Amino acid sequence: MKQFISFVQKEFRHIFRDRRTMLILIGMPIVQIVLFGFAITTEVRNINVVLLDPAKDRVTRQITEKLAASDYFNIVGIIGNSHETERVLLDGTADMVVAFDERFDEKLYREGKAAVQLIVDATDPNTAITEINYAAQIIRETQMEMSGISPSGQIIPDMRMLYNPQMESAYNFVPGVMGLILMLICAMMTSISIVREKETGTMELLLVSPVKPPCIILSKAVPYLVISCANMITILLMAVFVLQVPFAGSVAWMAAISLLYILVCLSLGLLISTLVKTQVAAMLISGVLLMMPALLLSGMIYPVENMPKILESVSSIIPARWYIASVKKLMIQGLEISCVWKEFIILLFMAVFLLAVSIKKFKLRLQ
Amino acid sequence: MTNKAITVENITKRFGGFTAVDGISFGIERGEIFGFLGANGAGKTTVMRMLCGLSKPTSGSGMVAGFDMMTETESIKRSIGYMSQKFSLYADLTVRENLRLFGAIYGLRGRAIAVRTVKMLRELGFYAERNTMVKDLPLGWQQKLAFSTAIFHSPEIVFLDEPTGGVDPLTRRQFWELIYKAADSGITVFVTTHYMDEAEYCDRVSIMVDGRIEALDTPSNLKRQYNAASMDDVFQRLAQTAKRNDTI
Amino acid sequence: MITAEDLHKNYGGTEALKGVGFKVNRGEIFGIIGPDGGGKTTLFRILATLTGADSGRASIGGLDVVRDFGQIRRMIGYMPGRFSLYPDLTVEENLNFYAMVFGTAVADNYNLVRDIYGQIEPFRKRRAGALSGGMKQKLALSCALIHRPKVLMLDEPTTGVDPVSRREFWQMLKKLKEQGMTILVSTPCMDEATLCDRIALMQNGGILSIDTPEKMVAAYPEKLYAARSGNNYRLLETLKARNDIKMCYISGESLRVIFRTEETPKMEGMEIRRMEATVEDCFIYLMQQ
Repeated sequence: MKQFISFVQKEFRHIFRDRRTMLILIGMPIVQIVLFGFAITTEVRNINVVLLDPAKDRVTRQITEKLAASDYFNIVGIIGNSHETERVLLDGTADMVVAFDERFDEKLYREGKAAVQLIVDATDPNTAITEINYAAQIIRETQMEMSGISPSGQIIPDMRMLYNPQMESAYNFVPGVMGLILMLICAMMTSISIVREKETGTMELLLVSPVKPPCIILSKAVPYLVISCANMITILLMAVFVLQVPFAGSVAWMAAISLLYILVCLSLGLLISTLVKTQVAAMLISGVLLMMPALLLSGMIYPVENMPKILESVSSIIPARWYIASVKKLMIQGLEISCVWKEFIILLFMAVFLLAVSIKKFKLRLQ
Repeated sequence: MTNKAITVENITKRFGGFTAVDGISFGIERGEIFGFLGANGAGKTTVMRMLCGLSKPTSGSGMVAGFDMMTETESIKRSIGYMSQKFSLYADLTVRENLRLFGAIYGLRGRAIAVRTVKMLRELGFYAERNTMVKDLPLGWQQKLAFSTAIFHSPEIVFLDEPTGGVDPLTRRQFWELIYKAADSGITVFVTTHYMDEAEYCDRVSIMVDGRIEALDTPSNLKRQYNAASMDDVFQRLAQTAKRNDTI
Repeated sequence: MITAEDLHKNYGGTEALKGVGFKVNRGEIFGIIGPDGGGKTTLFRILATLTGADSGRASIGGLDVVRDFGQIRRMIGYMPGRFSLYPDLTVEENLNFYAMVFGTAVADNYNLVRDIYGQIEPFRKRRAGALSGGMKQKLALSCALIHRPKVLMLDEPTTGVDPVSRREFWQMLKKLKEQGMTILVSTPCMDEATLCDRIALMQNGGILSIDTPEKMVAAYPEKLYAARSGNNYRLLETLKARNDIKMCYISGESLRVIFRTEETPKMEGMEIRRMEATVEDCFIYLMQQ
């Protein structure tokens, strides 16, 4: 046990003393989240608005003026009926259509509420959210100002996202980034750190020592396991509190499936390290064989359902696919664990299989 | 035009506050085999880099192959050859491809390369192996080939960095025969090495201690002077006087 | 202490070892002398239980290297060709780590490594990667000794190390031997052969000869002469062309010559004298047989 602890301690020293490794381990999750989250959602200005205003009354005019006066919106046209909505959005005349109820003023005072539809093109979901938030804000402000004059009544903004109603890709990247980063840290870093010892010759000394090989392997895996967990927590916290991605499901089950996935990735790393002799080869194999498919085939960028049959079957051997799918279900859609039993079992099977193969392949003797 | 291949006058090299090479002077005759020895950190590598035109002295003057060390480093590079035990040939290219590559690097024309390649490989007895990849040749052959490649463009001076470590004594002899032959044809040979028995093959050797040349003579004169049985003993005597820590 | 019997090992199509056998006595320095690629490292790996031989047997202290590899691993201190140190760990951390690996503590065996480790202890906070070749070598040796092994196996410990550190290293080995350590060491340097008690000359996976350096040199079967002139290369060419010369090669400042005749021929400008063979001359002679 004492031996094992000193092994783990040594492994942490290697990590903390190598600036490059540190940068990858700590910087990567943050950079990825920021890249996917913020950098893509830059501030939106000059949103072209087309109005559908059958009422043309005091309140609608006031809201229209407010919109036009803000830095964000340009009123570029007016349409007569709701059938034209799609046309102006499609041909690019408008980024947003603001559609007021008929008899808006009247409804607001008589019935106490009136609806305004904010229809946006949500193919770029981040921008769409921003646009809607701006418009809703302006409508709220206008109503506050007017509440002195007209005490009762409520304007209800009704938001409509066309072309991407579930806002899928907006939340997609969080499970995706998690899948990718855990793969990177566990598989790539573990394999590199083992192969490095082969390269420098220190592995030879460890092998002639009385230390048992499982101890060497496990001690290599532990630090990366710890770091992966820390990274996962960072990503989740950033996603929830900075990017406001909802966390709808059970935290415990999320943790469980993530640990399982980490295990799969660690075993993959171990397996790679038994197959190659140089750090460069380890990097290439984990980069090309693991990262690329995880990036392209896992459903992170392209939905698995839209893939050609062949690619879809290829994607089913990629652990990241099952992990990402289950995180989507558990975290974002807030489904029960019973809905991800299939993913769970597949990952479990992969973990057991890979671990068994890599421990069998890790040779007690050098060849 | 003197008959010196290298003359160095009072050369100094400083890195910040550290004087790596401290005002050394020496001359090497054309066709001489000159051994350049010194412990780790004595300044050997720094001198070698300056002589090869890879770095400029902080002060002093010198001529290498008839070119000024301070101003004509590019011309120097063109008239020297270099071989080190660590890197000399591309292992995944064939013998002929290596020669073509190094010939081209030094500006030989395709035809000249072809003619020289055949001549050289015939002399070495490697002609049958011309299309073999370098990594498939025995170590001793690789070293011979590496040396021949280093002098392929007929340089004035060839620099050898620990050339014969790890080969069997017979191959080593054959290697030194090649060096002797090159020197006999007028090529100056500059050898740095850790192996003192290798130093015994040189016409003259210099021993650097703490950035200065502490001894420079033929091996037998040095042994006589220090009353030592071998060059190793001479070296040990001199190196013991070193003050500079070899831990840098 | 160490016995090897008829060891064979193939890598791919090449024979790394073709029937190697020898015995090393307790408390001696036994040198495996030979060029790179001669099979030295393969031999060390088999003895250090890192790889198995295709055929043949080997044992250390009566324990079989295949069957009892666990026990052997506790008994030997192995220093592979490349110094197996962690460059990003400090001197102290390296030593502590290797002590831990072998289930011991530095304090327990400090007196064994004091002579060697003492020299680098002032730098104990320095990272191993920043040490000079000589200091790395001392640290690697300290690490190999820290668990008080009975047998020390050093594969080319002096390669790439400057002559001063090399000499110091051999002095350290001598001291260890005086403390009763059995030492198996390999080197491609013929001039280090005389520092061993007994040597095996190894070439192309086979052993050419095993003996003490003195006996080996004394057994040199020919009369060896040293010849020199103003231009040794020309002299060599001249001698090679003669047919009364059995063997002729350069060696340092003079040529080595073996004549077919009892009389040595006189040549202008040539100095010639009788000389004792060295281990290197023996090696060359045996290679030619």
